[in-house]
Amino acid sequence: MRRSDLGEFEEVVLLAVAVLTPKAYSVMIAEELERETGQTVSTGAVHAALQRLEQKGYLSSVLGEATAERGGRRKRIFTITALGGRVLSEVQAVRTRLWDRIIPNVRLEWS
Amino acid sequence: MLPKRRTAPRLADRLLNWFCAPHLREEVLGDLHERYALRVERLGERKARQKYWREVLAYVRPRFIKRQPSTYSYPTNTDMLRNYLKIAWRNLVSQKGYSFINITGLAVGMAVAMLIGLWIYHEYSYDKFLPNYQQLYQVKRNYNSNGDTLTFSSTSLKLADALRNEIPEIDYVAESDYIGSSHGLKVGDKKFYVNGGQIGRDFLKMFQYPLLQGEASMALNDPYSIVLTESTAKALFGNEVPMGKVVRFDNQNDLKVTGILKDLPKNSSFQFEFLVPFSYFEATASNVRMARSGSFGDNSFQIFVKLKPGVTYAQVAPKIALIEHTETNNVNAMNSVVILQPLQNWHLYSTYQNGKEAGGFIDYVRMFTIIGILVVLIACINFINLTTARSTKRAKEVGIRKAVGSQRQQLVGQFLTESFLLTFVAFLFSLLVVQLSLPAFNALINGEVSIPYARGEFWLALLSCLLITALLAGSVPAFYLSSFQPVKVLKGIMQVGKAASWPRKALVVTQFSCSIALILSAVVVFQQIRYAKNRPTGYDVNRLMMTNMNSELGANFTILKDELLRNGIAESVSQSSSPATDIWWHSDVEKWPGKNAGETIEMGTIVIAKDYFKTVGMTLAQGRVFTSENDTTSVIFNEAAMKRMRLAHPIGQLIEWQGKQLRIVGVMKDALVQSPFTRADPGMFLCRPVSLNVLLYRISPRLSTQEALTQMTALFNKYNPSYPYSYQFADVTYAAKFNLETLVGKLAGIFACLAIFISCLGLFGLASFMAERRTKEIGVRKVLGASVLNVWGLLSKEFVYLVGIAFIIASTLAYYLLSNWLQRYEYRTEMSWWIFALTGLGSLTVTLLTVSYQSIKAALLNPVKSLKSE
Repeated sequence: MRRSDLGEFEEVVLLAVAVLTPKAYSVMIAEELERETGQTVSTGAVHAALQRLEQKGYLSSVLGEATAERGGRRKRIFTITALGGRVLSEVQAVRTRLWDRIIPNVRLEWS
Repeated sequence: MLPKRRTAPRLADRLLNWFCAPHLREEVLGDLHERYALRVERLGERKARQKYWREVLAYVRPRFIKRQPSTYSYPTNTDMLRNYLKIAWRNLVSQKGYSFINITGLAVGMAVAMLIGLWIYHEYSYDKFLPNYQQLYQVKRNYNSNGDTLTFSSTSLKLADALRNEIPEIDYVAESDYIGSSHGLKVGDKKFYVNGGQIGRDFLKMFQYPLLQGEASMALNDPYSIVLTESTAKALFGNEVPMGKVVRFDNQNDLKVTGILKDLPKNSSFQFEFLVPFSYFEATASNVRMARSGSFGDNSFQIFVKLKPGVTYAQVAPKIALIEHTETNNVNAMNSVVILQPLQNWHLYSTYQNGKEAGGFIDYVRMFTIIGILVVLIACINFINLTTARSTKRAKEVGIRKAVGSQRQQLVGQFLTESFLLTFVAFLFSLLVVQLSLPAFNALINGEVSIPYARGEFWLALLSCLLITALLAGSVPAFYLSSFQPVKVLKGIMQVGKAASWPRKALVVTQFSCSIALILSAVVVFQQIRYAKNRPTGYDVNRLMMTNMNSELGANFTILKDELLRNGIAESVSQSSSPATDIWWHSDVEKWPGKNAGETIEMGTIVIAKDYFKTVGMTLAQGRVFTSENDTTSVIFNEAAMKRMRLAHPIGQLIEWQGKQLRIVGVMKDALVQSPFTRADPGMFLCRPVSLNVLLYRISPRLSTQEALTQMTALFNKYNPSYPYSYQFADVTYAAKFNLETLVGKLAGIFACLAIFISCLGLFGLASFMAERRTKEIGVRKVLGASVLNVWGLLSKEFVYLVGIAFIIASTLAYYLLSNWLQRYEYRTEMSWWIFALTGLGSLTVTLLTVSYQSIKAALLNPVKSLKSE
């Protein structure tokens, strides 16, 4: 697997999709990320990341229902694919392995 | 109840809709609006709106902008193009009448535009063929005359020397007498009067006219040398080698030929056949030698300068402006500010106002640019109107094309192809028309306009004009025709309502407004010319002739005059310092009774001989004329001068002129010697024992001009053998003062007629279309009892009404523009109502004639025929 395929922002978006399934679409994801990170996240950036992830095969999408706030426009709902799930766990595994190798004293010095 | 939902910023949505790819718009816009609603709740509307903009801008990325590839397949483009061309050609051939109207209109319009374009190019090309033309200038003086700034090109030799010695930025200075004055050249028994000038030695280094033989830096060094143009050399020496040979100049001295210039092109401001060094002038004329050491006030020369490379006029201007103010005791010098006029402006900016260039020929160049554009516009409107009017004919085709899968762009492409084809055919015809009419056009404008076939820019300009015209004419029909909905047109319920015809009406009104305004302008220009021509001149130019004096003629004047009178050839003979139709000398009257301190008058000054007033036909208002040639203490003024000097009882008063006391003995009635469009200038007449410039004689009414000329040629050859007999008719010279106005009037008239012609072509097409479409209606009307007159009125009414509106617009516009134009003439005609009435009547008649052919044809049609077929 080509690890470089997943950028940092893409990874976060992919995670958010996993978290928000079955109601994962760009507005929800952007709002969620804003809440979690405390920084402004535009739907445009999220939308672009979602499209990239879909192209890579980590996500699949389907047009969902329309609501009044959307002016009667439908939303595109994203779900994570098997490949996407595997990539996420792989990333997590790498991270955990690295985290576990940090000497406990070092970690204390930061806090 | 829910609070009323506020909508997101409209403008931002519009922006998004513009750049965002259509297939993404739904989800993107939905996301944005949903989030906007969330934010309004959370942050309030103002913040939400701000954020909305940022959100929209975040979508400006290639992946959202890039359009999805079209689901339609692209057939090989040339296939369709071939089909378009084929259909276009078939349409062109099957609708011969309309094609003829369209092509003729466009061809004439483009030919007019091309002629005007070539002419403007010619006017702008003046003097630009000279290398370093940007560095060449003529020296002029802004003269403060009682608060008014007058600009003169006459300057002093002292100024030439000052510029040469004191201003390091000036490369070369050349002084001259007056380039273009007439002199006698003689070689053996060949003698000619040709125009030329006496000019400073550096002239050919500044104005680098191509020399065929000789050196630019050497040719004018020796005072007794002469530079000839190729054709003059040919006329004088035939096929001999002219270099080093001698030419007798003004029957006084032999000058050696030191250079041969290529003949000057017509787009050269200077027109001369020979050049003689200014040093020759100084060597032979004592007054010029004196002027060299004289004052800044001796303004009877012209100066040309070349600035050093890289130096601009702005850098030199402050240094030279007040250069004459060192002569504090000289009123003339103290009131003069020295300026330069760049060579590239000489031709187009000839008039000065308040010391600044204020237009001149450039006004007419601009005017004709506008006319050219208008004529092309009128031709394009024809095409637009005829194509859209006949759109129902093509509607079915559009429907079928769309039904089988043609996209709108493709249809636009098709109709544009058609307009390109048509424009191209029209363009070929227009090129032919221009080529054929060029000789006549050149004769009219007295120019040397030609089609520069070999120049890339020309073809580039033509190509862009072609493209613009084709787009202008083709885009409206293309977008209109391609907008038809296939369902409607194929079901046959395609209804072209009233709404569709009114843009067409507006275009017809525009066309006719332009054409009628052009006609009105031409009429008023001619009216003004006629008005000025009928103006009483105060003297009689008929049968009055002028011959330039020379030393031999001066010596034999008395005997020649005697012979002319005795043989009954001439009624009266005299001579003066200026010809009858110009004033060559202006001077100041220094003192007169009642003069204000510091007041000056530019007084036209003419030195006259006995019988002058009788010869030119001026009449005395009061007092007497000169008693004899020796009456040098007397002076005669004209009435304008008396008014200017505020002298109520002038006779017997004393004035001071050039340091001499003169007594006013007579006052002449005003005579229009200079411009026929302005007031008569103040003028004075003097008797001086000096050699005069012009011989004036009025030929006897008992002889025909031809007989008189034969007899005079014999007499002049007898008493003035060194010079050829050359003469001018005063009435011809006077009429030449109207040349510019006549040319403008003629051109405006021709172009106006062509504009009307093109407009009428379009009207003819429209009328025939209308008649064709209403065949059934007319048939029914006739069955129900309508007369031919009724039907004719019905069909013509609409167009007459349109032309009526156009006439109102045109006359308002023309009145405004023409009163502005007339303002430039002090003596101007009134724009009387009947000019407008007549033009209106004329255009209405032309309209009716054009429309009537079609409407009467339709009205005469047998209703059985039109109603039978279904």
